[in-house]
Parts: sequence; C-alpha cells; structure tokens
Amino acid sequence: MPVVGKTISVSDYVIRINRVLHDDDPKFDAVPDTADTIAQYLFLFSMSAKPSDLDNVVDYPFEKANIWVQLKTWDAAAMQSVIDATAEYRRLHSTALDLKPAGIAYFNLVWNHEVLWDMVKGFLLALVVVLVILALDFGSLKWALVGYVPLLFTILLIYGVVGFAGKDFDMPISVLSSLSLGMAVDFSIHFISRLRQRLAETGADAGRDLSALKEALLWTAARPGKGIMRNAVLFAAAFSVMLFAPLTPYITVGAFIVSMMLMSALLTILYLPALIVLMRGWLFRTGRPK
Amino acid sequence: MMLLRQIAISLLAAAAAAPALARAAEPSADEIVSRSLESFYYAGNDMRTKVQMKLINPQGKVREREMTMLRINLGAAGDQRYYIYFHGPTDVKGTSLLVWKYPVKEDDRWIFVPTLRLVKRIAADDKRSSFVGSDFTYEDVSGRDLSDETHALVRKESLGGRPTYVIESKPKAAVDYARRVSWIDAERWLPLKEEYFDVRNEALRTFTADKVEQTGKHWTITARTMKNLQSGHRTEVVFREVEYDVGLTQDIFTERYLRDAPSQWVR
Repeated sequence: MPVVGKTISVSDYVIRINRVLHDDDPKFDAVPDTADTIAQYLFLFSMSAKPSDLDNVVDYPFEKANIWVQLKTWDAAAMQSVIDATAEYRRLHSTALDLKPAGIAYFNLVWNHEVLWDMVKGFLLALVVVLVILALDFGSLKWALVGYVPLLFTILLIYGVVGFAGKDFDMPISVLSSLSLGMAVDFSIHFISRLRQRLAETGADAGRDLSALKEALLWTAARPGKGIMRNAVLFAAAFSVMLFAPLTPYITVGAFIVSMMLMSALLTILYLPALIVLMRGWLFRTGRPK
Repeated sequence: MMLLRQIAISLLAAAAAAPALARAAEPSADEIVSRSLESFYYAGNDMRTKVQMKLINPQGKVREREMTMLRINLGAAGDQRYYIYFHGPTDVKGTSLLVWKYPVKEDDRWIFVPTLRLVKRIAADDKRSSFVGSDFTYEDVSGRDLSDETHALVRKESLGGRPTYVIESKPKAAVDYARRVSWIDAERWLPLKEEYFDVRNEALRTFTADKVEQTGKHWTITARTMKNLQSGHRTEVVFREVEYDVGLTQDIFTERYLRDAPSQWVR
C-alpha cells in the first residue's frame, strides 16, 4: 500500500540473518525454506548481543508474531485504508489476526469520527442559539439579524482563510470555534444596545431623520466604540504573545483569537453602522421599542 | 603485685594468640575467592554434564534449552575450553557452541548452525554478555579472574544451615555491576548466593545455589537460579549426570567436533 512507509516483522530479522550468515550475499535476501533453519536462525539471534530485540516481533514462546506497520502520513484516510485492508484480509483468510491501530494517524481518524462531527454540530447549534438569544434580547428579529452580521462575517472570513491556507480543521481550531462565537458577537450586542439606548434617550426618529441617526451612530462609535476598540486591541495584543510560542497549537490559538478580536471589532464599528444606515427603513419601520 | 603480673601475662598471651587465631579461622578475602573460583569453575581436570535451562520471562512464559556441556582445563594459567551441544528445543537440535576461555583476554567463540552445516565465529567482545539468551553471562558460566575485582571479607554468617564467608567484590574496570556480594561456603567453597548491585546501589541480579550435591570428591551446584531483578526475567539451571575426570581430550574442543558431535560424550 502506498500510504505504508515501512513494516517490521520477524521475517525481516530472519532475512537479515540469512544474508549475514552467507557472507552478506544479496542472493540470500529471503526467508529460508525450512522451519528448522528459521528456528536455528532465531536461536542464533537469541544468543546475540541484544536478544530482547526479538520481543517486539514475536512473543516469548514463539507462538504469535507481530507485524509493525508504519504509515508515511498522519492522514486519517491513510489509517482508514489500512484498517479496511486488514478487515478484508481477515475476511478472506481465517487467521487469528488482530490489528491495533495507534499513533497520530489513528488519533486523527478517531478525532474525525467521534469528536469532529460533534464539534461541528455543536458549533452550528450554537450559531442558531446565539441568533435566538439575540432576537429575544433585542426583542426584534431584524436587529438580531443585523447584529449577527459581524459575527457571521468574522467566522466566515477566518474559516475561509484557514481553509484557503490549507490548514486542517484540527483540535485547537474546533475547540476555539464555539468560544469564538461568544467573543465575536459580544461587540455587536454592545454596540446595538447602546445605539438603541441613545436613540431612545434623544427621542430621535431614526426611521425618517437620517442626520439624527448619523449623530447617534457617531456618538455610539465614539463613546462605547472607543471601549470596544480598546478591549479588542488589548485582547489582541495579549494573545499575540502566543504567536511566538514554539508549539504550533499555541500559535494557532494566538492567531485565531487576535484576528477574531480585531475583525469583529472592526466589523462592529465600521460595517454595522453602514448596514444600519442602509437598512434604516426596514429596521425602524416596525419592531421599534415603544 | 601477683595479680598485676597475672594480668600482664594473660594480656600478653592474648595479644600473641589473637592474630594467630584470626589467621587460622579466617583466610584472606583473596584466598576465599580464589578457592571458590577453583571449586566452582575448575573442579577436576574435565567435566561432563547434561544441562537443563529454563528461561522464564516476567509473565511466566518459558523457553527451554537442553544441552550437554563438556569442559576441559588446560594448564596452570587457567585456560579452559567448553563444548556445548543443544539437544533441544528440537528444531535447533545439533546447534553447538565452542568457547575457548582465556583468563587474561577475551574468549574465542564459535557456533555451528546444523541446517547450513556452517561454523560461524561469533563476536566475543564482552564476557559480560548473555549466555545463550539467559540471565547468566559467559563469565557466570566460565568464571571471572580473581584479579578482575578487589575483594573484602565482610563477615561470617550462616546461610541455609551452612557456614559462609560474606565477600564484597568490586570490579576494577567499569562493567555492568558496581558491587557484588557473595556468600561462600566455608567448607565446600561454593558460592551459595550472590547479589549484584549497580552504581546507584540498586540490586541488579541475584544468584542462588538451590541444590548442592557431592560427586566423588567434588561438590557441585546442581540447581541454580539467576534472577534479573530489574527486568523480572529469570533463568533456572539444573545439572544432571555430572561427571568429573572422564578423560576428555583436547581434540574434542575443535571445529571438527563442532560439526560432528563426539557421540561418546554427547548423548
């Protein structure tokens, strides 16, 4: 199989001994024909410097053999193909064969099967729940949708970049995904509720009076917006330290949170007001409190 | 005055007698070890025995070896030759091993692989390497040299009803153990127990003489165990049909007989 890099079994030892005993002649790169010869080779080996080497490939009474299969890649699909091939062999030959997968490729396989889909499901569910909670909090589905935009764009952009860069949806990213939802939506909730509070205080008719809306937006961007930017920059700066970590997962987490913070803040301060201005007719006609 | 003189005389007598008594009762450590090596490894001019060896791993799984061992002593320098023929396991029957042991330098070793009818000289760069995969080293089987270690008599004590000298030996050159304590039978001179320790003073291996029998004038350890305390692996060895001075000749210990076992001795 092309995904398999190397196999090690007792036959490798036997072949090697055969060749060495025949003055390193490549003609003898083979398993000898008789069981007695093989037994005597292994016996010879058991008298050598490190007989315990054999313990990795045969059990103590020479009843069971072990074949090591090493994969060239950590890819879960490679592991799956080896598992399938073993199952197929076991179906065709009735041997007492036992496959014990291990290592990173197997971990990735289990991860994909067991954990990843649950993570993705949880993530999608969280997206829906966040929208519902926004709608309840704002008392308006329209405002909830508008407030949802910075979150959605941040998530789409970041995962787009992750996918485009060819990085796998691995453990740190999937763990962060649910976390990121809360962080990304935080700023827009803040922004929208302060804006609506301001509009209510000044009693401006934002639906018709564009300048009043602009004034309220400018106030929100200047006052609570300053706090939002400070918050984002502070968080981004703090987490950017992780970019210099020696471990890749740390770098991933650092880069993820830094970009998440900055993008959701920028989208909230720049994109959200623009959206509110553009959609003011639709937003303020109905669903406006009081 | 009278009393004083009596005391002085008795003190004098005691002072004179004490070293003489000590000498008679306690030979030096080197003498004890030397006699032990002599009794353990050099008994008779030659020896023939059947050897049954069980290698037992920590899980209790067993590998067995059945062999005939022939030994001959050559001269006063301490040179010896060993011929070992494997009767079993059956699929390795006929495999045989020849060791020419020199006390002052590394052994010469050859092995015969019967299916290939091939005699192969095997690397013998370390007397401390395992003997046929067991917990015994080549040196444990054929003996080490008195001068390889420094010896000190620690105490005398009774072990399993036998009087013993307890000797502590430290190798002069760096080897796998840093210290060895031996309980040597004070009358038969055989080691009844040995404990090996590493540089951190942790126990490495323990040798026990499980059965000691007399054959003619020689005492022989006919059952022994070497246990590796760090791996949990152990080796049990039983000698049967032990015979001394049977009249082995030097030519048996050559490549010719390695290829073709001397049927008079190997049965």
